[in-house]
Amino acid sequence: MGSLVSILRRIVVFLLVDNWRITAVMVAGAAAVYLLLPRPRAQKTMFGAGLGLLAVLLAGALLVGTRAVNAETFLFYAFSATAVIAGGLLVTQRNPARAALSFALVVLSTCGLFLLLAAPFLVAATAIIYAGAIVVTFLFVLMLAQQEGPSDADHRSREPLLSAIAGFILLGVLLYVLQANYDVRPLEKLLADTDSLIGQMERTTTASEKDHLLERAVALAKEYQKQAETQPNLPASRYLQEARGRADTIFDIGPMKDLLASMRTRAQELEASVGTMRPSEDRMVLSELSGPASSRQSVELRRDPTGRPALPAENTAYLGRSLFTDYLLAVELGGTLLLVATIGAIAIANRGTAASPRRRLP
Amino acid sequence: MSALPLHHYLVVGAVLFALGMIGFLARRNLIVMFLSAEMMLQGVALNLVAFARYRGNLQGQSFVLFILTVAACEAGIALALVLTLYRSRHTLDVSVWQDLRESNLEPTIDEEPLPAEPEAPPEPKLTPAGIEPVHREETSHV
Repeated sequence: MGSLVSILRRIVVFLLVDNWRITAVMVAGAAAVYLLLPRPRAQKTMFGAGLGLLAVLLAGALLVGTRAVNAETFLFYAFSATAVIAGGLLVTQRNPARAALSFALVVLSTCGLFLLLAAPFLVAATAIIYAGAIVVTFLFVLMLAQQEGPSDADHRSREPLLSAIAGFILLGVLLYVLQANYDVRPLEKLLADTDSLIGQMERTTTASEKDHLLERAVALAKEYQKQAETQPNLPASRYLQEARGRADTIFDIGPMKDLLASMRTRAQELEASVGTMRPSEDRMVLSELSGPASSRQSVELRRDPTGRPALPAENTAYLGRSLFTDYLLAVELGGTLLLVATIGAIAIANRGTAASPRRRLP
Repeated sequence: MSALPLHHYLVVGAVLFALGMIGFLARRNLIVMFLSAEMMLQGVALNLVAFARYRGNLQGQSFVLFILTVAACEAGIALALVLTLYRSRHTLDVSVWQDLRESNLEPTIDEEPLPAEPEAPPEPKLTPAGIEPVHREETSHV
């Protein structure tokens, strides 16, 4: 009984204290979608829309940091807000033609995000195939199946409460995993602490202060070791683990300062590779035709001034090289799949008319 | 000058995926269900392109091209199936196909009535052709 209570307490603390921001996004979003999903009764549309906007703002607040606003961040937030709001409209809209149009809006704003991610060929392909072909075909079928007045299909939902809860539990878990893997705030705080400690070491002279500073340096080394344990395979992590042992044997300010400075540079390497998948130790040789092989360590990548790995500017040419070397078989299979799907679609759609009784000529 | 971190894009992808899942589970119109499934694919594609950008290679972008291919095939076949289904039951509601459910499950029956159709505004009446409309007598003589 006591264990049950303690488990419940841990769950409540986990949801409401440690991760209250994610929980707030989940609750507001689920309530908004539940209120807005179509149903025959009169709905509280304004209330639901307000809650939905609140959820979008809370999710944005999860991401916003102290970073300066530049064109990239502004465009990112604009496009992603459009995508998410249009996605919410697609799910909750009663009129299916309007739902198709908001799907087109989702696709176009994801195209904007692709452009920010340096994928211009995909922007063209997605806009033409999705927003052009697929949405138009959907609208065409909608016009064929036009219905008058309220219908079961558009004005009722299947289990709106359960599906909203299921969807937002999935979202909460995804957000939690992303936060656990990509949060660099503890590491950044550690780097700032190191800077201030090194500054104090340069100024200090008295013996009592010296002992105190050395103690703090050892504490920082412990913290660095803890951070290094999260990414054990990197050379930088191995250095930080060793440095923790060395910090205990240093009793002078000068060497300790050097040690801290070198630990700081190694920790920056650690920060650059947060969240990246590391290849195993026995490196498999992979092709370099689609850019640097995935068996390379992330410190080996060539980086642009913003710190991200560099991508070739000739996107289409390099994408073509990747497709027709590494993925040649998959391209052939994709072509075959398209052919088979075309034949299948014609066969399925024709069956209805072929089976209907033919009118006899007099 | 620092770039946006990778997880910003992953969060947007996750939100699109979750919204698409809710739409697929909750909506009853066949076409809206397929649109929601396509939105889930968009979320995944966004993740792949973001990973490609932050790893500096083009494998993620190649994957998205294959996603596009499969999505186009899927849309073609799905719409052909939707047309066939519509022809046999004359509605896009998936619940008319609930007789395909497992034998131990209860059928879902809609209890609440649908809202009444809003009344159309009355059409304007014109004077029948060939009859001279009634004039009022002119009141002013010049």
